[in-house]
Amino acid sequence: MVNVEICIGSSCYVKGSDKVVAIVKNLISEQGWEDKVTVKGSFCIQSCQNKYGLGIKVNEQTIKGVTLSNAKEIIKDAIGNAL
Amino acid sequence: MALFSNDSRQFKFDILREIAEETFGGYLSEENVNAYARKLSPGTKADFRCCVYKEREILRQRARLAMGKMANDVAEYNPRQVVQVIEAACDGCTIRKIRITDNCRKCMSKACMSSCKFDAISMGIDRAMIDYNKCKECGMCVRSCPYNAIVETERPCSAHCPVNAITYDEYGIAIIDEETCINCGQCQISCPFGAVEDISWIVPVIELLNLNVPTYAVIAPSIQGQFENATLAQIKKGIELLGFKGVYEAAIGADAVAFNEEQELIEHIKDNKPLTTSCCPAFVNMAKIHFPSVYEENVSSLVSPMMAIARKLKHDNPGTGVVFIGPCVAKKQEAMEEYTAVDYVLTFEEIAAMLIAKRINCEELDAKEEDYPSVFGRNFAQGGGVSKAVIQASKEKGHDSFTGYYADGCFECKKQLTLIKAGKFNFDILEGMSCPGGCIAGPATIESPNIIKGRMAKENLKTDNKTIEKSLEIFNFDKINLHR
Repeated sequence: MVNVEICIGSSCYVKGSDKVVAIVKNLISEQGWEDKVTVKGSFCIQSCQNKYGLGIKVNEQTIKGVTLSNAKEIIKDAIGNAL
Repeated sequence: MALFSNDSRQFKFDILREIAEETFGGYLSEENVNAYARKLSPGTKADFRCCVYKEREILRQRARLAMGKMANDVAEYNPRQVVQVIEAACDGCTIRKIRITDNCRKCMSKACMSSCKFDAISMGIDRAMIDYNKCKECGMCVRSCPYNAIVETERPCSAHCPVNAITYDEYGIAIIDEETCINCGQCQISCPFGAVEDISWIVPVIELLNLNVPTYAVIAPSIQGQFENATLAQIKKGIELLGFKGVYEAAIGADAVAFNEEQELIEHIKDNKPLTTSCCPAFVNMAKIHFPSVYEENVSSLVSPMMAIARKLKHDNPGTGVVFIGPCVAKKQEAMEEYTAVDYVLTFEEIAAMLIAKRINCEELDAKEEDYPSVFGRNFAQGGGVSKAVIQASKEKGHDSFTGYYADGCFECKKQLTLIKAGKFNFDILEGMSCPGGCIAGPATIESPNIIKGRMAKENLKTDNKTIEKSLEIFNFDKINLHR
């Protein structure tokens, strides 16, 4: 099972984390990953302070450099590697 | 049924409700905003403004604020500026302070002309006239006219701003100076067009609840009585049904703050410098920005009750979030300070929008009383309640009593802070409340303060006369740092 955690603290919300939730959910249904991937929200995971971009963790590992425009690609690869 | 008699407040609420409903359902999108701007202002005939297109633009700007964006879409992003001008809604009302009206009879005494020290008034064809290049807006002529023909008007927003943070652009549209604004929300209360509103975090909070992130709600004591006849226990239950893991009263934190404030007060009296309270964030902002020396010397180093209970919840339950629900817009900024333990702040309006979106009627819920704080903690919501609680704490500890002064409203706060700065404040403790009447008169309340006062008193009568010490035996703050 792959766990995707998306930060919904105020800093990430402003960068569009609510839209990333929708993107990831679409991705899961597109790829038919419903049984393999879960999406969770979280509070600040310090991505903003470390300038990693949007706060996203896949199986406890912080994914760096995520923005709204590249979110789908990067998260798809990260989940793909984790599966 | 309309919740508010003020049409602009009702529009604001309708927008919040629509956005809450869509976010709960998971289908909020920018395109939908256009759709409900049309839904709320249908047809081609305008009800309130010059045309429906302006009305819809106002609704769109309101929706932007409700989604946590700047009202003005080209403005630089600054969520710390909680209180914002909705440009399209601002009427650009008159900025001439002194005006001569039709009541002028061109009388023979011409008291107005002789009262004017700047020679700004002359007699026109059908009434006296003011030369605005000379007028200094002193108001002498207003007081001298026997017919009350000269009126003094000031724009409500700037008249109610205690720190002169509001100016206008060349078209008369209000501008808030972000450097001087203390986010007290008085302009928001006063604007008859609803053109000043607060930024909302309703979308990310609902998003968190949708994703089942463990989140606690902390409710301000002034929530008592805001939802018709629903009891506090029913309100707590209703909020819990929205998806929160638990609901706690900020009054618990208030008990802890009052108890520790007494200690700090004794030290301040020893050093012979008055202490000021730190629970009203707008009052603290006023001290911080406009009276920095008083902020350093006199403002209590204790955090607010909101922060105290939030720190306790985070200490006892690591990895959870805290959302504060209150009547206050300045709290939204306090939650962004560097020592914060609060993740988001919602207002009563916003929580009401969420409850209605989820079709939850608090009055119909079965709820039972749980552990509750002292009535002193709950009375932080009313003007004068903080000093009363601190006096109670000193009584419980068997200490000497002291003198307190309650500054009711932001202008009184400013006056008393000025006195402290000048060393002419002759009391031990200053309780500052930016809203006249206390938190129950906050910018984002639903019911009027008088109704709330009555309902609070009635409900709190039923509780036992718990002391602050007793309350802190139930809710232990020993391991919590209560300082900034």
